[in-house]
Amino acid sequence: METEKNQAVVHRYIYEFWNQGKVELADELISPAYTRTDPATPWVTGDREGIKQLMLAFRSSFPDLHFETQEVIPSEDKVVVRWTTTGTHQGDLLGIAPTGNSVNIMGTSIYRLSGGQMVDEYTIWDSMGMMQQLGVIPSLA
Amino acid sequence: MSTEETKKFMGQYFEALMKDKSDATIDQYVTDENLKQHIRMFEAAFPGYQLSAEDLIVEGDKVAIRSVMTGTHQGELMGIPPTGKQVSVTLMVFYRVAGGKITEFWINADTLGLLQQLEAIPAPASVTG
Repeated sequence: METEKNQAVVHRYIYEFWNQGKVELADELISPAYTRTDPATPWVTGDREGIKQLMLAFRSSFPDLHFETQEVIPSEDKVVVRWTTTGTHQGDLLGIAPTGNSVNIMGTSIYRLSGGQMVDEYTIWDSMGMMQQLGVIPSLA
Repeated sequence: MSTEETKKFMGQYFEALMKDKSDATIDQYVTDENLKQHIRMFEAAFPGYQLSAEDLIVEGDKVAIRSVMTGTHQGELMGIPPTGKQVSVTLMVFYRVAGGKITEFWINADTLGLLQQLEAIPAPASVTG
């Protein structure tokens, strides 16, 4: 089943590329034509090189960064994932010096796959919650 | 509910909600109290706000949407007084549907982007240094 293969690719992307920091896996799991849309990370390009930079930057800021999928919906050529991630802020993040704070953040991604590789990704995650948990911006009423 | 039934239900829900976000309409489609409160809060801040359907994924009783919310900030939002600004915010929502009602939901929205558009917080460059 194509949908099962797609689910396996997304699982490896989250649990190996992101959680184990296997940067070289990007070239296997992600198409050269891949595009990524995420309003919270305008500081990397929305392509395969950009996702490598993003993962390395986050793992450098949060060395124990760990994603868990909370819900996975495979549908035709897409896989939708509701996820959470946790980590401890131990390295510089976009000019924010390490705070030692633990963060717990929720996000949602829609991946589209073709030929066993991810071809596009739309992600929205709680970047405001992260900034609040790091104490960079105050909590709102 | 089957995928087809859920698709049909979600189409009816969005059509009804985009015309009218009264309690009667909300109660007809939603049992999740958090979703009801969420809709009321945003309708108070952005009266008549609209949601586009950029992507809709349905499998059985599970629904995911990718959408852009547009509206004008005419009422208080989380302590921010009305600014009169027009906003455009990307979001994704998961819904669980059972017995012809939305029983659970999870939302992720570009909240930082929304607050930047309302000028409640500085633009990204100055937030992140």
